[in-house]
Amino acid sequence: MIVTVILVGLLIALLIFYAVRAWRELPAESAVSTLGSDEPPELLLPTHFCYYSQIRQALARADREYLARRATPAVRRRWEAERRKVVRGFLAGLKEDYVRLERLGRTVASLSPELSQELERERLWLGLRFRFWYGVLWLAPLGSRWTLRLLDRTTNLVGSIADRTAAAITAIGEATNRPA
Amino acid sequence: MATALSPIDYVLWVLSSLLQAVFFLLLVWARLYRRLPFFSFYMLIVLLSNATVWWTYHVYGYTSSISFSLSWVLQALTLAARGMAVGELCHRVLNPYRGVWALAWRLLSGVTLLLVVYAGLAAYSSRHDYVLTFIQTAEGGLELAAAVLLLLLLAISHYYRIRLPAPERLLIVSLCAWSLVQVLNDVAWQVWADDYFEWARKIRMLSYQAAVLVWIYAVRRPVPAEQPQPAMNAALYNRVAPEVNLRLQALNDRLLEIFKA
Repeated sequence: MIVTVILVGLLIALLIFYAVRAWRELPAESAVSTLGSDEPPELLLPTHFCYYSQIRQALARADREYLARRATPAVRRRWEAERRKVVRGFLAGLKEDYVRLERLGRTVASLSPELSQELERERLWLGLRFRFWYGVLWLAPLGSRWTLRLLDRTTNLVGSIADRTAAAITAIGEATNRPA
Repeated sequence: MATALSPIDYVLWVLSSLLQAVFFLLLVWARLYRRLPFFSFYMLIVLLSNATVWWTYHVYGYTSSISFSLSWVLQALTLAARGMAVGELCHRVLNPYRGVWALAWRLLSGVTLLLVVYAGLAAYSSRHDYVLTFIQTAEGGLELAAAVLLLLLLAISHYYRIRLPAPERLLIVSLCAWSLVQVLNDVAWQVWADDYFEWARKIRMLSYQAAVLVWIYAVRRPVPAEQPQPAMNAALYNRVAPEVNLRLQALNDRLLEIFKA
């Protein structure tokens, strides 16, 4: 009995979530027509990675060592808090870049007359995995070797995604503008 | 357990019948029976079975064996009609997106089959307790199946960014909510047995009236004509989708490397 009640509770939470989303959601056809229109395609292009050098600077170990020697504990704490805010904002931006790319894949899929079960399953799995590890990294200590390496690699990758995404957007735009 | 209907029962019955009649007239007026024939059929079944059951209750009392048998037979018919209406809603929302529908219908059918089999097995295992327990378990299982199916439909629409048409959106959400309330109601009924009987009946009626009010709201205005969905060349999907997945995969691998370091 208690299992059924918990299950129904979860289902009700899901229902509320999807009902709210159903009212807000931008339809797939609108998203694609945007790509085919004169509007800029920035809606789907990764954009946050270009701020990486500033973020890398904010995480520089030398700054921390300098402050440890010279600044008072109160100043150091404030500096840490500010730095944390900026880096987490950047990480959120990277996630946004990922979500845009993922959304492109879903939009193309929704409008295609045939779908590959394998590709769809793969994208779903990748999305789940990315969100899981992203959550773990979000909790990782700031300025650690992990976080710095993540930022280096992820940012380089997202940068290269930008070019590929731009090409895909152009292809979709051409396809949707083509008369039937 | 009381054997006669109370004045509140009659008030709820009249209110329920009125709401159903209004909704059914709106369905006909908006010509939604063309767009949603199974859903309209379901509403007709509900309207007729409601009148029949209440007439039987009134004449024979609702603890009589004839009322008991008739109400559960009609309930089974109504559940079957609702199952068809739910299937129709899934088809209506996803069918214009041919690729998505080709993938989704297998998933939806598979999940439905599993849940219906589960409901059957659960009901079969409870058959020794009491016939009412068997019926309640079966009904609860089927309600759960309907709710999960509608939630899956919402999840698929959300995942592929498929916009749900205005009346269907409200019908799906309210049908799902109503099914979930019935599952909880059945569980409570099984726990508290006869003490809960009156409450179970009233909650069922009130929640149904709430659902019908939402449906009336959904079809209050003429339904806009359907727009053909934009289609895309399958070759484009075959070109873009693997590329996108490759990039997403690479991004994931980079994330994982950090933990392996």
